[in-house]
Amino acid sequence: MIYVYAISEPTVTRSALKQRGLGGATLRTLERGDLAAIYSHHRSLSPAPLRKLVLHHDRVIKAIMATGTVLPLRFGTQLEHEEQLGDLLAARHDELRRSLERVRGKAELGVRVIPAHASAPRRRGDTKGRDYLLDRVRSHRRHQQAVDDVHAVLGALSEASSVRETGTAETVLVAAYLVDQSRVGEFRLQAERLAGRLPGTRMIVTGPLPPYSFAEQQR
Amino acid sequence: MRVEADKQDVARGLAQLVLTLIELLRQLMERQAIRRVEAGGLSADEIERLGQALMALEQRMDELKEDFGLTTEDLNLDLGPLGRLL
Repeated sequence: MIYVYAISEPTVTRSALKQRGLGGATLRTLERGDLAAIYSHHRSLSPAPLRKLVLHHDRVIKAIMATGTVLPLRFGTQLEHEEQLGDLLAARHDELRRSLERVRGKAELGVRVIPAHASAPRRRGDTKGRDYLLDRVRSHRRHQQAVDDVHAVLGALSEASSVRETGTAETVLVAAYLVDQSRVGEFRLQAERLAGRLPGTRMIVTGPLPPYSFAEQQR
Repeated sequence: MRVEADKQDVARGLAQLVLTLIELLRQLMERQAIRRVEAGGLSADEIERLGQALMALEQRMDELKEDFGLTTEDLNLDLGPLGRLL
């Protein structure tokens, strides 16, 4: 069977193949016209999402991204043989080309905003119902405002955004932003400034990463 | 013994699932209460009673979690592509 890492373009992939794939396997490329897929052969491989394997998968994709545009595949994408991969590239050619153009020259930045005092006890023995509820309302409003602020500031610096989670007890916001590589520095700077202005929250920014969240067709 | 361990796993897994659903409902009710307060039109008495009900719910959840030795993290089931439950 074959393990597939990403889809890219023929010119890009040829130079990125020096990396080793999972389990030390040789990286190969399958080309169909103006598309190319990067994969490796394995006799049997059921990648449990072990940290090491996931990081390796990510390293391969980053190596390809260093040489050009890449559509990262999710960890664990396997097919039976090259023919299926070739068919896939042919069948979804137009959609894949559109996706490549969408992420060309851009990287993904992840933003996670969490409540600063998630584990603080919200009530004591003598807390009145009214105080408890109004405190929850205030907290909710602060978090809503934080989400709006993040979207306003960071959305303006991005080509696209994707919200994964919002408004739960554990997280205020988990979102991914597609940012032109020339604006990554400014994005991180603005995010840092913003983090200081959102009361009662903490912000974690990751990236630049390969565009995992924007590789698939947007609806 | 293998059978005993399996029974314990099943019981714990079941507790995890049930408590997760209860926590989900609690959060939904909390959100609904917040919406009602923000929409206005609630008397002071109603706000007090709503708040008390939510507090009691939260307290009960904490007790249940402690009884079963589960943390909030344990209840946040990862549904893969659907994201986390809570």
